[in-house]
Amino acid sequence: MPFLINAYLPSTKEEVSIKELCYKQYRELVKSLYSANKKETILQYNSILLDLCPDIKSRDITFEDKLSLLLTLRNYCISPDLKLSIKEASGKSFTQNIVVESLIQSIKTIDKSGNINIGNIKVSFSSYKVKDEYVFIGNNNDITVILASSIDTLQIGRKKVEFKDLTLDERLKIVTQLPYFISDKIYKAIMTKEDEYNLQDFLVVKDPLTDEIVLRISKNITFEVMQKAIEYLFTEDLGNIYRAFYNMVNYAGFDANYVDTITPVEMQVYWMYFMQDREESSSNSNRTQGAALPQSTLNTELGF
Amino acid sequence: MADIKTILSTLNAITEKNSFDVYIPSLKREVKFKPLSTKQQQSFYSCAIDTIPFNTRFVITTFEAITENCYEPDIISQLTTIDRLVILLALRKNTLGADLAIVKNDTLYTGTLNDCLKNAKAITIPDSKTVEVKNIRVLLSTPLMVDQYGVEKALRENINIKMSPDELLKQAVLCETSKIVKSISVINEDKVTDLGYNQLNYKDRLAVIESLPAEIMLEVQQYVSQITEITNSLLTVNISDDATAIIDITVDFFLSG
Repeated sequence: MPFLINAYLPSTKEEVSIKELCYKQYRELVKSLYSANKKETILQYNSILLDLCPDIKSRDITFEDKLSLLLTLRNYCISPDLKLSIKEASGKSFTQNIVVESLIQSIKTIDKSGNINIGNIKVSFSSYKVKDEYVFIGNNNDITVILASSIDTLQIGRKKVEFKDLTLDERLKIVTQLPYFISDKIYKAIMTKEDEYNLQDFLVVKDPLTDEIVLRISKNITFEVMQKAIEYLFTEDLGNIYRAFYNMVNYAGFDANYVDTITPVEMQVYWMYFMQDREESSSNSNRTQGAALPQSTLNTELGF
Repeated sequence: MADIKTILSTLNAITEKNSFDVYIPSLKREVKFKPLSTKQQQSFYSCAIDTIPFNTRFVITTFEAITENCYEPDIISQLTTIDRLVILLALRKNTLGADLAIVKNDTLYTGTLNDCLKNAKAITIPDSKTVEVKNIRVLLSTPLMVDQYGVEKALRENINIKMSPDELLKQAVLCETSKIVKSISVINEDKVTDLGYNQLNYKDRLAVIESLPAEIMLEVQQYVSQITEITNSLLTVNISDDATAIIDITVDFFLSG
């Protein structure tokens, strides 16, 4: 039985169980951020999320849901702290610690759902759907794509269609055939919600000396915002990732296959024990000349 | 739950229900049109970068929208460029509303398209006119929308939008000549023999015009000016109790509510 953690889906306001992120998957997530092919990176993240949380397969999850799942994994399986190194244009640099739990709580409060009635047409909409994520690559802010991804149901008289059951092409077909005076009203209602969340902070970093904001991400989780947030959550020096794995196998004597199945935070715990043992044995026999162990692999996130 | 086909046909029904009548000056009667769809409205965004001074993409896009949305396809070939403006005014009113922001002398005013649509009912499309100089007879008439579309499609659809000042000047001259290309219907040699002007492609028509005698060109220009005057009277709106403005029908007209 895999160990399960709970993650919150803002779109349905419910919790789902999610398996822990193992080191192998973490390595793949970090590695895929280095890929020049954005679509592949998106597919990689979504495929790992689906692996860890099969429940999302039947749900039309939103950008906020995806971010909530990733934040939960980041919090429990990697580190509850997010260290952001900021280098300002002036050359000044500093590090800020963000508590990941606060980001999880923040994402929970986002609710972009709304309803609009135009004559006998009823439309319900919410956030962008993860299945359409790749369509937004390249700053594609086409109104029809925004509508096709945001609309949940369209009801005309007694006839109702659930957009989650349709392919993107089918949804686009419906949206493009809508008389413009109708789609304009829906679009404006969606944008009103976006404007509301644009004003709210999701992540803010201030210069510790001047208190000036040097980085701000709003709670309006668009494609660009989500990519930025994922970058902050999972960017790590790949050398550190491989080095940590190598140290665990080569110095701590762990089986490579096993290391790949544990979480990054568990790896950190094992390494801490190993280093403690190493220090004890070193103080007991301070004259013994053993193999030179690395003092640190410089992996700040993993604390190695 | 409805399937996509049912929803699409229901949307068609909604579109039909929201159709509206437009008074067509050349036909002296009303014709039914569908409102713009989201796809059509979207297509205006691609016109935002257009060829100066022709608005080629806008002309092509609006021609396609008018053709698709007109309930009487047979009349398309008869519609004049003045009718086109009236239809665009009505499409705009039924899509984004009748109010329009107008800037005149650095001041922002609000005008209403209802003024223009009222003007449309009062204008008269100029009659055809025959001009005779020496042995050449030219028949002039109000340009047709299909010719305006044809000229843009044939001559400028693939033009480079980044032009040097010299090239721009050349194109401005061409723009004036284009108006003449569209206004001439028939050219007779010896006042009898039809030179087959209408059968020529638009490039060749341009070449023919360039070799017409100056006296004819002067007459043609006067006729074109008459059409411009009528167009201006159509597009005049009240912006205050004692001031009017002529609105521009360019892509911005469909992008700002």
